[in-house]
Amino acid sequence: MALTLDTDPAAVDAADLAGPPQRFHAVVDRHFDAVAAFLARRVGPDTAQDLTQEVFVTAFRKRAKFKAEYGSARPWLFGIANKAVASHRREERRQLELLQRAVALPEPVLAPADGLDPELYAGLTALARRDRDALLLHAWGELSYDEIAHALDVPVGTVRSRIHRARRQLTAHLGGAR
Amino acid sequence: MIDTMTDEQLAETRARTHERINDEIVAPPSRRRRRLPALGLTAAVAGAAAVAAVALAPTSVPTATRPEVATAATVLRGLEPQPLPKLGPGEFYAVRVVQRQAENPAEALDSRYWTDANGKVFERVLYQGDVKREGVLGQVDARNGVLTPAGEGSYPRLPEDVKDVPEDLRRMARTFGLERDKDAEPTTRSYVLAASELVFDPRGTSPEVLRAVWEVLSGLPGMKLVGDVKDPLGRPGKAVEADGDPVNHEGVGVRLIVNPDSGRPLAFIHYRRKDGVVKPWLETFRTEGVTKDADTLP
Repeated sequence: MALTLDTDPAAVDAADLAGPPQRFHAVVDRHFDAVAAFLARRVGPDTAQDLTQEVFVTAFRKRAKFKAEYGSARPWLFGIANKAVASHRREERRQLELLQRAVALPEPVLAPADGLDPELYAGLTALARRDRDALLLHAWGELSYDEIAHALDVPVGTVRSRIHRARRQLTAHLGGAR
Repeated sequence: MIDTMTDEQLAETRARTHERINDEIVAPPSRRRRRLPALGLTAAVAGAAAVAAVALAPTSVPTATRPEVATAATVLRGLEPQPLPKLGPGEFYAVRVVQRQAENPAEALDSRYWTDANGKVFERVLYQGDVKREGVLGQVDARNGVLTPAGEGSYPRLPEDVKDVPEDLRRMARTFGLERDKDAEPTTRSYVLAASELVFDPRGTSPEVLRAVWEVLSGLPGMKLVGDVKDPLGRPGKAVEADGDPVNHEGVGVRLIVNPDSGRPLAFIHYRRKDGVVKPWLETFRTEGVTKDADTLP
């Protein structure tokens, strides 16, 4: 019998996620760098260390929910990563509110990531969260529109409009120069 | 510098991720999030069970008495909150609450309050050592023209009426809760966070309310007894804690430390548990006592 190796990454992901739990390690190895890089850009390297672990542990627990027709697991993992970032922001904000409530300190601002143009950073923070998520999954996560639709569980048309809106607002913020 | 992980960070995180997946494979956690039953129902069921147990117990068989094993519930129920001291003329009840980053203690919010015998509260708040606000609660700060919080609303306080404590705690826990399902019952962690408001109280909480709060906490599932600990100032206390959900709370749990002698809160700590070790993140602690002026620290 000829041994055949399925080299289609999408089919491999689906098989690993549906197979024995030990096969999940292969999914980690295939997508770890991409998820870690995306999270490092969103929340900084230190926090990304924790969040990356959480993303894969969450994915492991929810692997039965992965739909094989989605193909590669990457958009699905990025969707989990995106939620982890939102949850992280919420939690950080909540903790800081304890301080603020007591002294009415100004609203905390998220520090721009090192190396990020401050103007671009300001433009990004001014975007609606959903628009920003879609744009960053495209720009930093290197996902296609279809993959973003899977990651965020929204129609691809919605992804298009969110990214379009984000680009338009960002361009306006930067004075139309970029 | 580019915002990426170093090779060491990547390698460490990758290894840790594989370890955690192995942990999941070996000992999968319960899939169901702990939800609190309605407190009233719990009490009713517990009461009914107790009645049934008494009714069904064979009267001729003597029941062996065993020493009760200490749990979060027994420790909390065993606390006997002491009353606040009665102030004489010219005396103040001073409270100091410091909240600081565990890894960077200099980044601290230092709130100081002095309440006179008439209930008037003087406030001075320092952030990183600089006075940011001072005045009487509810009045305009001459330094910057900002109206200082009036106490009510700005400092969430528990009601004076003891019977409202369970519902009030629940309402506050909902406010603190970060659960995705907004209709879900607050988690134990959210209840602990709500109870930790007692640490912020600028004046002092009545022993009756304190007792009611400890009673509510004692009935929560997943509340863990840490045991004898030292608070960030080195004071001995009893601690209970509730871990944070990795998804909803980023794994940040809350530990409450209580003075076993006075039955009053000393501190609460936000922590992360890493490799089985509790790593404090945010420390909030309270000192209080009677002073002769509105300047001396407790």
